[in-house]
Amino acid sequence: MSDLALSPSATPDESSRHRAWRRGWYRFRRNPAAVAGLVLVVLVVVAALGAPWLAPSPESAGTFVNFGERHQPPSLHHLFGTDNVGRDVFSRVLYGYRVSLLLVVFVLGLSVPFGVLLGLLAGYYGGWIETVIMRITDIFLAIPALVMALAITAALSPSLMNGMIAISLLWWNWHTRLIYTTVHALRHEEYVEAAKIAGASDAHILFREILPNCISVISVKVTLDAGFVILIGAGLSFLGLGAQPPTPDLGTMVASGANYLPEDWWESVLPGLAILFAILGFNLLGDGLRDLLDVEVS
Amino acid sequence: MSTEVPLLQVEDLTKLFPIRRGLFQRVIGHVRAIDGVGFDIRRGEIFGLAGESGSGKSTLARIVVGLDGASSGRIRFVGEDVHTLRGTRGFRRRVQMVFQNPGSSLNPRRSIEQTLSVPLRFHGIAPSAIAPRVRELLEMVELPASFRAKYPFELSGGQKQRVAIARALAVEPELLVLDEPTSALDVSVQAKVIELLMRIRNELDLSYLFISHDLSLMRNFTTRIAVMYLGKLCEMGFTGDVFDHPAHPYTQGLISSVPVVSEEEAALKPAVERIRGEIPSPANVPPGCSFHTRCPAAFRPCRIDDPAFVQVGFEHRTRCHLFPRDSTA
Amino acid sequence: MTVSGPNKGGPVLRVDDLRVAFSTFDGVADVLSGVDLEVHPGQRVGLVGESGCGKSVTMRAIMGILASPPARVRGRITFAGEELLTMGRAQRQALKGTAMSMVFQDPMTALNPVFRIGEQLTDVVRWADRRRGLRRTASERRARILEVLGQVRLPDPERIFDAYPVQLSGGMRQRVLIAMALLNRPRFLIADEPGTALDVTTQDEILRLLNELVRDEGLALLMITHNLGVVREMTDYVYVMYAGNVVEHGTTDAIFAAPAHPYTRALFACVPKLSGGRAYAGIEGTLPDYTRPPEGCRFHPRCPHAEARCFERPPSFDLGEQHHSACWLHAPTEAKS
Repeated sequence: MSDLALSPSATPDESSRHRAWRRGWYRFRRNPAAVAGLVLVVLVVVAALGAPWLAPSPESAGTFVNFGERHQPPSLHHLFGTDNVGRDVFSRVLYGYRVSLLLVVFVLGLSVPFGVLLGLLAGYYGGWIETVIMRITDIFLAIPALVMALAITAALSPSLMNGMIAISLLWWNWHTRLIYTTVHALRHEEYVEAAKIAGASDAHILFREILPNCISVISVKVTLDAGFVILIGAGLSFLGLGAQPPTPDLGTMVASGANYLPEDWWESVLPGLAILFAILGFNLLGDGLRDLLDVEVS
Repeated sequence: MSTEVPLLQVEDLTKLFPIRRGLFQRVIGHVRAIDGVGFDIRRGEIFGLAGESGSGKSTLARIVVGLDGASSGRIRFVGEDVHTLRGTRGFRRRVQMVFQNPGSSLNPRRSIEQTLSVPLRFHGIAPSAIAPRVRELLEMVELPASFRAKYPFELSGGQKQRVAIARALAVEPELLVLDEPTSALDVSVQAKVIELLMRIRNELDLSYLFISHDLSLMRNFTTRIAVMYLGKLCEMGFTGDVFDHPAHPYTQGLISSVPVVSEEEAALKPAVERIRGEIPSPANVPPGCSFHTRCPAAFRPCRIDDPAFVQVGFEHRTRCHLFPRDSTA
Repeated sequence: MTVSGPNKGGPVLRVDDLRVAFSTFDGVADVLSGVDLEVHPGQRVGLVGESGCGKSVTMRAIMGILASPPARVRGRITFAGEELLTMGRAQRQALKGTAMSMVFQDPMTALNPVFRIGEQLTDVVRWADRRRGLRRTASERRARILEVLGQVRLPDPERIFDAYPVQLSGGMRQRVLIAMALLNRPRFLIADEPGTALDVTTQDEILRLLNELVRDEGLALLMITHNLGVVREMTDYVYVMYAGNVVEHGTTDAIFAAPAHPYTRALFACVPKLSGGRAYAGIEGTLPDYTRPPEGCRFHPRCPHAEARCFERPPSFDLGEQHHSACWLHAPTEAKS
């Protein structure tokens, strides 16, 4: 197929960007796994944003107790059953997604720009800048993330905020590595050299020529990361080092529900499946995202 | 010959790349990518630089436009040492380059207008003057103004190369370095691009340093030509002279290995033995004449001494032991 | 199946009305619209055209390596008297690399860098043996490989056998690829732009070698290339393709002496001549969009001789016994006026 000439645009008035998106969407649609991922992620996001309206019992998110209805199995009235104090598990799962997404936004919003910037600088300038940045990155990469997060939260006193800070501290380096390798390959592209000959400044070359070509790599990585951040956050909470009760966190719910296994399985298994759902969604979406974003290049 | 100062003078230029080994990246030797190369480009001329991959011709182009520095030697632009000019915007805008690969010389994420406005912005063109200048540039390379909003993926190879030419012309240079500008294109597209380059040169009074491995194209397009082998010039002269009376065995072999489409051309090929084997690695240049390992005419001195670059005709030089002395009439 | 089938005098390969379409984002790309070609035993045939003309799609259809979907292939491809497109998968698989073989274009990527040359060549022999039900010992296979490495004039075949691809130069790797294609004694060879990735002097050597091997072994060769010079020096018969059609075909001598179709003529005019002195024209316009190809002759929007009847598809007109052009200019009535 590489033999085929690129066809000129379908309608003359359609903008190039728009057309690129349509072409990317066409390729994306043909990947069933990616579409499934997208559907899952949209469900998770809608659940999180709409929790106050969607949850059948919004008060279950808090310190609400209803001992009359504790340990109820799943039913039409309580889709996911109720927990040990009679709170509606389904409502808590919806709110739990809010906490998970908050964690994702906070951690990635903090660590990705920082990591990307360092990667750009190291990859483009090389020399001692590269050596200093990359060696520090390597040191951070050598520490197992979960262990480090455990150490930090334990030292700082367990809370959702400290958990987020701990994970952020461990996240930037992956992006630095990734962007560093990408930039290393891109910095000798002819369009970069052409910009140099044209007299462009380093800032222009870094942020206008190179960075836009890293966006698809970053987007894919960020999407995959979202799943992992949820997983690590849930892990911390499960161990009691992340979000504290009564915050409706999925990890905490699994942990407290685990006390009532196997009889009252829904209290831990269904929040666990909710975690699985979200992670699966982000992973499937991440793989398909490249199809959507790389059309201008191919 | 007029006494006008040449546009570009390359004098005894050498470029060494260090070879590093081991844990501490110690320098254990050097690759001589360019070894004592000297030539002039006169105003209005198309100077061709021919050679196989590994000959050093692309490294030379990069040095001329300032993407790389030389290890020794000098480049003068209109008589002035480029070293003192370099870095100043003034020099930068006078020498521009068109790259080989239309696929990678335009940023896939930037529109044509964005790409063309980069050199304008960085050479102090007023923001309000940029849009009209972009249209003017597109017109100059025979592309419709609607191409401003397009992205590289929507363009054919020839159209991309036109945009790359427009970008090089944006800051009104005097010398364009063309590094195999058509080698990735089909012949029908190549013909149009070459035609465009010829027209632009006449209109804008440009000079070209044209780098290529395509000898047939060189024959039609260049005023003078230099043939490069393993970092050294082995022959240089007016294009007609070099093609009609190639002196160096390498030049002869190169010309005779070009596949041609007519009897008429086939008759023009020098009847020489084919060149054997392949170009050695520049990290491992043979002693004496660097071509002797492949030369059908090699004899004893070739293995020992590097021949001098001697005159064999009017402004026609070669580096071969078959021509021991200057033999200008 | 018999490799040396009952194929007396007939062509080794015959392609009839080959049509290939791809479904793409922009709609159905009607790439090949009825390609006919023949390759006779011992004949060297060139398939020449510019990028996007459909020559690679034709080659892939013949080799059976078009992914389908998105490709839809119709028509007939007859090899040694057997119909390839309706043949069973296993049978077709058995042909690949044996009776029908291929020399790849890029010597830098066609060999796997982590295996020794000998290992890669042995695999090719072993797979073919298995498909043909042949039993050979490792040393018999090795002997065959060393023999072929010598045939492609690689110095010191034993050393090459144990070398990794990175240890060989581009020209040597291209020779290995030729050896790979010859290992199982094919009768028909497809060469896809051989040597274009190499320097002129090396390419020249490779083409000469390929030429000699084809002659010595009496192989039929189908060479896909964009380089008219290579076609002139390497083939006996030429098919010129434009936008998914064969526009002109004939003996190499006839076509190079007097190219007839307006596209062929324009293409020749674009080639820079070693004799110099000629301004060359280029061809106005671009290759058509395959999802909406022009009606009739696909070259007519770019053709200086276009007229009303070009909206109908021209058949192939005879210009001589061995020279045919698909252009209304060469319709018999026109020839008189």
